Amino acid sequence: MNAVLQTVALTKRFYSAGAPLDFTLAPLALDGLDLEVPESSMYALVGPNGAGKTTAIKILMNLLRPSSGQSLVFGRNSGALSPADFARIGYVSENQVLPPWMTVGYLMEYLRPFYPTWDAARAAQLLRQLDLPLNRKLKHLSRGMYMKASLATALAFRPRLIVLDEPFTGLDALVRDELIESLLESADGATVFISSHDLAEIESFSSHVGFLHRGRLQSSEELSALSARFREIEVTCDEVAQPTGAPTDGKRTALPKPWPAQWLAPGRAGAVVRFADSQFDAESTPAKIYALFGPGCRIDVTPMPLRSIFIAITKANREEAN
Amino acid sequence: MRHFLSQSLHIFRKDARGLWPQIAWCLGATAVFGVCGILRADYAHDALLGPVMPVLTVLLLVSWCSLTGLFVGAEPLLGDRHFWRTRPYSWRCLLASKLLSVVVWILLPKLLADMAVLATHGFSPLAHLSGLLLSALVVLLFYLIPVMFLAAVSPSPMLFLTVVCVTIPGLFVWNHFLASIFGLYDAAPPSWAADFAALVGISICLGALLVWQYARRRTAWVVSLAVAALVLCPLAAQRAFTWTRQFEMQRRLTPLHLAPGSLHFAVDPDDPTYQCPMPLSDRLLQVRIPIRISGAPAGVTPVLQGASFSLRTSSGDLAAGDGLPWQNVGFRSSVGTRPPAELQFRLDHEKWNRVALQPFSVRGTAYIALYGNPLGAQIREFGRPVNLGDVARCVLYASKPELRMTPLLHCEWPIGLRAGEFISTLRILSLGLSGPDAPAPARLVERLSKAPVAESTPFDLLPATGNLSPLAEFSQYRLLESDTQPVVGFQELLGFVKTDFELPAVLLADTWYATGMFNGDATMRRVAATVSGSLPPAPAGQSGLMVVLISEHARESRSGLAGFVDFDGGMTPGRYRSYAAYPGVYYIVAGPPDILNLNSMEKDLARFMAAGTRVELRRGDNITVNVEKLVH
Repeated sequence: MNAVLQTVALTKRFYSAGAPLDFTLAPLALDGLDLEVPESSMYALVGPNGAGKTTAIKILMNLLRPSSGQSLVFGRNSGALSPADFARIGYVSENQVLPPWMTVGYLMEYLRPFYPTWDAARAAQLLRQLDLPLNRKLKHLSRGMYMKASLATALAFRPRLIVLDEPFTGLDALVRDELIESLLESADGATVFISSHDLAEIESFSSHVGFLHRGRLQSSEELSALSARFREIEVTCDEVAQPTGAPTDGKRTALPKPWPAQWLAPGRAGAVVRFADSQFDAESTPAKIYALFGPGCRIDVTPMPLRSIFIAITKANREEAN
Repeated sequence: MRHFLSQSLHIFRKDARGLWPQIAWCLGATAVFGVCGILRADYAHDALLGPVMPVLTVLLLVSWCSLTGLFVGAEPLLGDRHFWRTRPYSWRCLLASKLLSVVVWILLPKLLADMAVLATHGFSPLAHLSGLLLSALVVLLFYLIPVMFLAAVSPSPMLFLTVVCVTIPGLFVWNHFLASIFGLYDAAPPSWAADFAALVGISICLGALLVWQYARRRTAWVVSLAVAALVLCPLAAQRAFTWTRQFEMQRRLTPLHLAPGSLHFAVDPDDPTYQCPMPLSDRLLQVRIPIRISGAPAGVTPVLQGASFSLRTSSGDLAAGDGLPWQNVGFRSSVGTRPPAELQFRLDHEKWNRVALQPFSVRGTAYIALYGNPLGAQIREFGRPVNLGDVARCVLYASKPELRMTPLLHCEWPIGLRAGEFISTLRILSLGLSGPDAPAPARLVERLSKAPVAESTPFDLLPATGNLSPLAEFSQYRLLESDTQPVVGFQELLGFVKTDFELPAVLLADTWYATGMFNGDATMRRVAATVSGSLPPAPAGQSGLMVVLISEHARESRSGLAGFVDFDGGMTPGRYRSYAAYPGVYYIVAGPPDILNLNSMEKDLARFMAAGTRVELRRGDNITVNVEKLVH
């Protein structure tokens, strides 16, 4: 499958007036990002604040220039995107500025001639569906309405690539539902690339997920595969062996050794040990657990929602960094 | 192409809709400026509106520049949050739409207002359309393109507006006040070509960088290159366009080409402007040699613009014109119909003595402007404009009847007019001369160059830079007897010629203007000055007389007495001592008694004159200065 969006060793440093003259000391927003977004996928890019999601998207949309590396959109360097390319891209960002003096109706009317594929019927449908007031100026819209107007302009021409940067931030549940509903109706085979903190919403429609942390992609795969390999595991033993050298304060908080690297975010409370297995396998994982904890332990395996997977990975990354 | 036009128009319409209040303000400002220009057709209004026009000009410029910035800022090039950046905008269409907005909302209204102003001032707008279009192009190149560039690299509209609101009034203040205070205009050589080339170079660079910024948005590079252009263009232009190269360029651009050898040069011993040497300091004297140029075709008047020359006596080289060519000639008023042409140079005492007593030759290269196609009209009434064909309009104006002896001559002409020169002619019927040396009643011809500096080469390729009015103008106070006939004229600049010349056997002592008499006009009747007694003997060839007249108008001049009425160079009461520093050169100053301290002057005169000379200044109805031969 072709990659609609692709980055290769993409790096971005932000220089500022106060930054040291040595550019290598400027803070890294992206650190060799390698990313591929397959055609027709719904790719969710998630990561903690400051991970570099927005920076990556801005580079892909030619809003920022990379410090090094490559970013490709439709196979073309994003720095050389032409109007014809942008005519196939619908971009919505939480901090995008629309002309405040325009009414919603005029904004739609103004943008229409720019897009050869503009679908007037679809535009009208979006306006109705999103309940947008045509005669109200954009500067007088609430945040939710503003985002809906932005989305309507990005979907009315049936783009082949829809890029959404934190579209749900600060919106209530109803507006989020409306946005997602409109998005799904309009996608129609288009590639959707979305960054969001709202993992529950993303999980409902994403086909692929990428975890970005400190400018690096930690994982990128289909959501089904991710969900399949992540499990929350709770091990309850009457007696969990204390590893050699563990504190002997009687609280029994230490984990048995050697702790496998793929078991993330472990925590122990007395006889119960919980962790997220990032490589769950129904046959091999229990065997490994018994080998480490002993054969008498009880194992409870629970599928993990995307939010829990995200937290587990993030915690693991923090621990690794510390 | 169709898509290009339609998208450009689409963005243009959007900007018009979004910025209509600002556009309306700008159109209003242009209309007010135009109406003021129309009202100025009556010089009585002009006198009232004149002081307001600079303020209106600044306001209009700020309005235009702000609107231009807003057009560009509607789709900001800097920043990563603006919606248009991820929309299928073609940068070419975007830039074209901005230029279209500037043309439609700024330049076109200006053109229409200019045409209305021209029409009400008695000029045909269509006949001067090319000049008006050229003027609009100048506004676009010199003002709006730089402003578009500034807006395209400004990170915020506030920063842009701040820069505009500070820069334009700042330039205005500099141009009108500070530059003249620092004497920059006086010191600057005539270099319209260099200035123009520098401005065009900067505009082209900024225009190219503007295009590059729209295409690539490389702000850091673009700004760096713009700064480099701002520094290098003036330097390169100054270096490339020397005075002589500029003259050569003008020669090629003008229609009349004359063979260099066809003009003949001779000393003009009868020229009454031929004067005694003027002391410049304790050591130096300035000497002027009047030149008569002949051999020009009928109807063509040659005027000396510059000269490089050297003086040689039988004992060897003596001196040379040591300034730039334009600095080595005098470009002055003259009594008589001959155009002024003087070689001027400086000599110290020792060399002066050699020159004064023996013949010498002058050899060099002359730079000459050729004028022709003269137009003239007599001004018969105060305040009633007289048109010189469709070329210019002049009016004599006096705010009060008692100032009609020194009225203001105000001439205006459409910018973009072909290069030329104004001539103000006052027929002086009674000079009050007597005796065998008295010249016949003559005409006082004032050559009023279009150029701001009288000495500069009077060639205007472009309309006056920085002037938003469609009319260029000058105003000068004139001395006018009640029975004189003021005549104004204009003659077209037809060509330039550079030619070598030689003046053999020049003898200054033979041609000194040694006798002068002045019968002052009404403004001078309050003071009479008489020098009686015998003048002291002076070294051979080292005597002279200088008369400086100061009129009523001096009191109204904000700059004091300097440079208003002077018979020989700018002179103020505060400075006149320096003119007497050289022994043997005396002076008499006359003027209204409440301006001049007569007692003080008498003492000064007495101090500088040799013992036995009686100096008396007294009030009376006439000034009479009789000097018999001063040259011994």
